[in-house]
Amino acid sequence: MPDLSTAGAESLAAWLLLGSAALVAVLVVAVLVIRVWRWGADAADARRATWAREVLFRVLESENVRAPWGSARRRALAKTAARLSTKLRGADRATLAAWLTAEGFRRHAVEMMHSPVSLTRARGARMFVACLADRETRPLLDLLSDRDVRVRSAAARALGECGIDTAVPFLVRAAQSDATPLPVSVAAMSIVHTAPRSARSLGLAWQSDRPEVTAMAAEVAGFLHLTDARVALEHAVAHDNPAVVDAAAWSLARLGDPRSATPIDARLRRHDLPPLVQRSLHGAYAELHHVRLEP
Amino acid sequence: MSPVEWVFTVVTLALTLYYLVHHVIFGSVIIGATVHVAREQRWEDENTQALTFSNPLAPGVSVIVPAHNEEAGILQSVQSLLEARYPSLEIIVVDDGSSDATAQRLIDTFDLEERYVPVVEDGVQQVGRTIATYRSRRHPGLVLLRKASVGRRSDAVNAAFRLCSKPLVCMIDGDSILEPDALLRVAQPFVDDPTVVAAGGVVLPSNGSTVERGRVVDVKAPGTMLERTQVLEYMRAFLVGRAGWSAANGLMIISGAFGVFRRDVMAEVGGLDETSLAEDADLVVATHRLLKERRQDYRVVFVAEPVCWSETPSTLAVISRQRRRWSHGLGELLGKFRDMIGRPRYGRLGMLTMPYFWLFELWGPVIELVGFAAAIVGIAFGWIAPWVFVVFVAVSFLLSIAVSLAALLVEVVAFGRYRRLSDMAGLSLAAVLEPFWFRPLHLWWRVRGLIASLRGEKAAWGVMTRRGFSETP
Amino acid sequence: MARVVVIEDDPDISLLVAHKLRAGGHEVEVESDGRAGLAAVVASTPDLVILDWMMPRMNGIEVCEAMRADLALATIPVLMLTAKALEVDLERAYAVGVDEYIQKPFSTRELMVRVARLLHA
Repeated sequence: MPDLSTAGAESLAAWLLLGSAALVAVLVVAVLVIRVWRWGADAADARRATWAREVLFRVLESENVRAPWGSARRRALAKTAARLSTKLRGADRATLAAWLTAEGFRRHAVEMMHSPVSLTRARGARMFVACLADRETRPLLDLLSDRDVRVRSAAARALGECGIDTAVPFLVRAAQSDATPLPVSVAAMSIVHTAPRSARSLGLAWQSDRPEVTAMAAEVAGFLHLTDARVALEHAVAHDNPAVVDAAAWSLARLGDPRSATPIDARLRRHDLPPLVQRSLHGAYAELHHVRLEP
Repeated sequence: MSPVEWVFTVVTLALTLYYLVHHVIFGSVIIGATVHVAREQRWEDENTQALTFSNPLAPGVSVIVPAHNEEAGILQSVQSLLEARYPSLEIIVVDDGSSDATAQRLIDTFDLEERYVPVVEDGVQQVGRTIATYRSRRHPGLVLLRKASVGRRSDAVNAAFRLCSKPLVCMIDGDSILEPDALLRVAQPFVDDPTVVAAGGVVLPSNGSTVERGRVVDVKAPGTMLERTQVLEYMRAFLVGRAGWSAANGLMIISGAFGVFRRDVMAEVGGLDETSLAEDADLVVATHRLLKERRQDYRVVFVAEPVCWSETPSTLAVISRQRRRWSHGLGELLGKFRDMIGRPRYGRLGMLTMPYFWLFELWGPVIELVGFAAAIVGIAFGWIAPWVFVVFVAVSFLLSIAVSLAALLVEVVAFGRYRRLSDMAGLSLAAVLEPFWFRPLHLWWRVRGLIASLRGEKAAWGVMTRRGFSETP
Repeated sequence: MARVVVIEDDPDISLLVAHKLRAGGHEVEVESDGRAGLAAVVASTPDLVILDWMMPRMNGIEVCEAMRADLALATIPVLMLTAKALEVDLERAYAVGVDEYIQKPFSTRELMVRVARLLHA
């Protein structure tokens, strides 16, 4: 055993002991101090949010209010406005958007959308939507091919929020992209939120080489009751991929056109589907004949 | 130098190296976890936005609630699921041969009637016979399955899995209470990234908190030192351990008390291994193996925000059985998948996580005992000075206290669920005291579990005495 | 001038609704969970209740059921303001005796029109 009773070893041991004891002490103090500090920070946040709400409620009454510049209050105002905007629709939302634009929040949102920090770009997208009262969605469409997938998703959600159905082909294209794909389910939800009235805008998706995109289009068409998607869906039922077949059958059942029973029947006769999909096809077939299978 | 002394020196140096490596790995796990949690927290308001947005089309989830004599907590648990913010939910409660009123309470409270429920996944095997299936007249997604017990939770889960019809499957315990948005949060990774195959959330002890109608309304640390120590253990395991391993994409365990899996992948693995004691970890490792061997791109993720509250043991007798079983299960699991350990083909899991668990979690207690024995021998023969030993023990205690406190710090900085200063002080105190009383006991339980796994013992459902949630009027 | 109880756990919405109602000359009480809300309704028997669905302690459906089971409260009109958007949700709400159903995101103008209609019915 090496001799540990040298001065060097002893002082090393002393330092180790002191260091770890100090670490423990610092951590205990940090836990307690941060707990107390958070009470204060939460209370201050709550106060600013209350103030911001009052300002914005007055804006909604079309009163003439000015936003303060460059302060914690302005940030609180932006945050509260972005949140409130998602909970409102109609004239309230338009009033809020017009005021935010007039107060310079929209310009700031566009600057944020060009930030090098992903989170700032995503926040910018949300702020931009809160300020949007027209159809100028270009900056959002650009973010659909952002290098960070979370920003792409945030941009897609923002497009869904503002409910502009001209964005649908862009969302479909983003979902099909190889280099910077938008998650298919995010695309689906965004399309549902924009609520297109016709299946034409889904066009590209039916011929997609990625089956999950076709399945997504099928599901969305059924969810939104797009009756002009019937023919495309009947083609999709004959698709090789079970997920596409499943989504198409479900959507055809929702559209409820009795003509769709024939392609479903033909697909069932090929006997090449997994049991679960087979079941849901039977369900769709029965539904089109107004029979309800036991769930 | 005599041969004995020579052996002693080698052993001591090996042990010192062992501790050093352990602390370096654990230190980097803590840093990884902190970065991971901090990054996730910064996106918090974005995420909240995504949750409300995902509402209409979020993938359906089948929740499996295995229950064996859970009459104390089952109603609250099902209630919390019925109130969950999730658009498309199926709840399958399995009454696994309970001898108490578990099934009757459910039938009375939720208006269940005996109905046929079809088996949709017959690739997974079930051992215990199904007695009857029920559906609720009031809640369309609620199913009760009564089956004969074979004494294992995994069989109950498999039986329910055969009935699941949604693309995602969530497993919780019969006494768990989910936060209202927990399912949305834990399902979000599946929405954002199609390569995610499994996701786990945080489990925290509900002991001490107030539960009302299936919702934790007041988070409070429990009163006894034993329960507080467990709160710290859960924080360490989830906020530091899992978050850190997940950041390295080497997550090995998703708690069976709260995990979500893609149904197709789970079916391909064959459901839970009915013979395994650590069936939840077994499922995760089997999934890793399947997908790695197929060279498929996949991710197993941990989400630090969604919380599932679960009652933890409040007596030493119950906790000793539980820990023994965990350690036994870990030993069994690592034995079963030993061909994956140290193989680069299995990525970080094979090269880092599994060796770590084998060396430091499973064999850790034995090595600790060897170290202790070596020190005593060393002091007795005068090979090392007593003060060296004292310093070594003191530093190791202080560092393990620091780890607990780091976990507590992550909780208070990122989440702040425990709002009272007295809770924070109480938990800090529990962290400081833990090495002096809980650690030796835990060591002993783990050694017994390791011995049980080496002897290949078989074990059954752990006996857990529940007190039920403290309901305030 | 009427007395309205707003039971809603999202302060953005409850305060906005309260602000609008006060601007319309009504007297408003705001509660943020179902049980406290029901207690407020029992204590003050208001002329209208605006109710969220998903809330802690007691959900909106249960609050409405409890009101309908109490003779003193059975006739108070209830307006449900909720993010639940499926057809089955609508059916469930009307089945327990909700008088009006507004989906979130909502328009305050629509809300005020419906409030006026319920108060003068």
